Amino acid sequence: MTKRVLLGQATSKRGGNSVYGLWVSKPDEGSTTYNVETCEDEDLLFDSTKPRHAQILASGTSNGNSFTVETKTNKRVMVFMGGNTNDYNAFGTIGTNSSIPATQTISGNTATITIPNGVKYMVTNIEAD
Amino acid sequence: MADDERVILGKKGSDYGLWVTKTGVSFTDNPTTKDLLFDSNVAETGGLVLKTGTTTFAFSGNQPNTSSSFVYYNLDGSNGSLGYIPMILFARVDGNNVYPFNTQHQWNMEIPHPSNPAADPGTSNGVMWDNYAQIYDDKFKIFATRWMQAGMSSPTVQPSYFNTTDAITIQYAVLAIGGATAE
Repeated sequence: MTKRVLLGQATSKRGGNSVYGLWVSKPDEGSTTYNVETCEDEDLLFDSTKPRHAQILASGTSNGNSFTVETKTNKRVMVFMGGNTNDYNAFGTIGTNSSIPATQTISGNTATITIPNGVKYMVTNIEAD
Repeated sequence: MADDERVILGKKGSDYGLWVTKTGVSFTDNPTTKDLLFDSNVAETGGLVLKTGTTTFAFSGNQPNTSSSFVYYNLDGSNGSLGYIPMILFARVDGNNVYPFNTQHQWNMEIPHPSNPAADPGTSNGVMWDNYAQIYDDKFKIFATRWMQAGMSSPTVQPSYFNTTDAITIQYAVLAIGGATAE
């Protein structure tokens, strides 16, 4: 059976014996196996030593109202939206600026986010800057 | 639903692994994958972020096409292949503004004072294709095109009608998704 969960002291591939954490590797794919002690980083499902693990703070189809999410102080988070073929303002100013972009303003550890009405979105916990 | 048994590390049934349920769901509810925050039996997770950052590009002169530099994932320190093509999320950012990563835009505009009324149109309308990414197993690159049909019989580039000389910033997050379907 392939070792797929490592909790505690790291192997040399996972950072050496001075590192402690939790790692989970991908399940087997046919004859390809991913031993959590030796596999490449990109073949892990979870790695507690990485600075980022994406979670969705908010998602859905916007009603146009502002909402807030908690962030690190003065750090924006990454926001992604579905495309809109009527986005007139994708590159700078072109003609009538009928497109309303999403906005994200930071005050302390609070990000206030406004997504245009009807646009699908997800707000992640990934730091943007 | 109970909320008291939400993490299993070790044996679950005949399997071994790590499972975490969503809030409000207990393992006593016999949850399925849709009820889990983490399931070590699934082939991939969107949570593992391999790389994040921003890349930029800018148009020069009256050129309709441009691109960013290659961005290498570089997990191994030598720009090696991941062994699969990852999924990448993109968004254009400009200060507090966030835009979707669109590939096509339509517009209509009035040009109030054409410099040459005999040649320049008083209105402009058409379609512009803008940005897309080429994603490889070791790097990616953003390509962008500004192209407009300005009320004329054939497409033409009219840079004076664009305000796109500034660098355009694209934010990205490279996710460890793609390995399960790599060939």
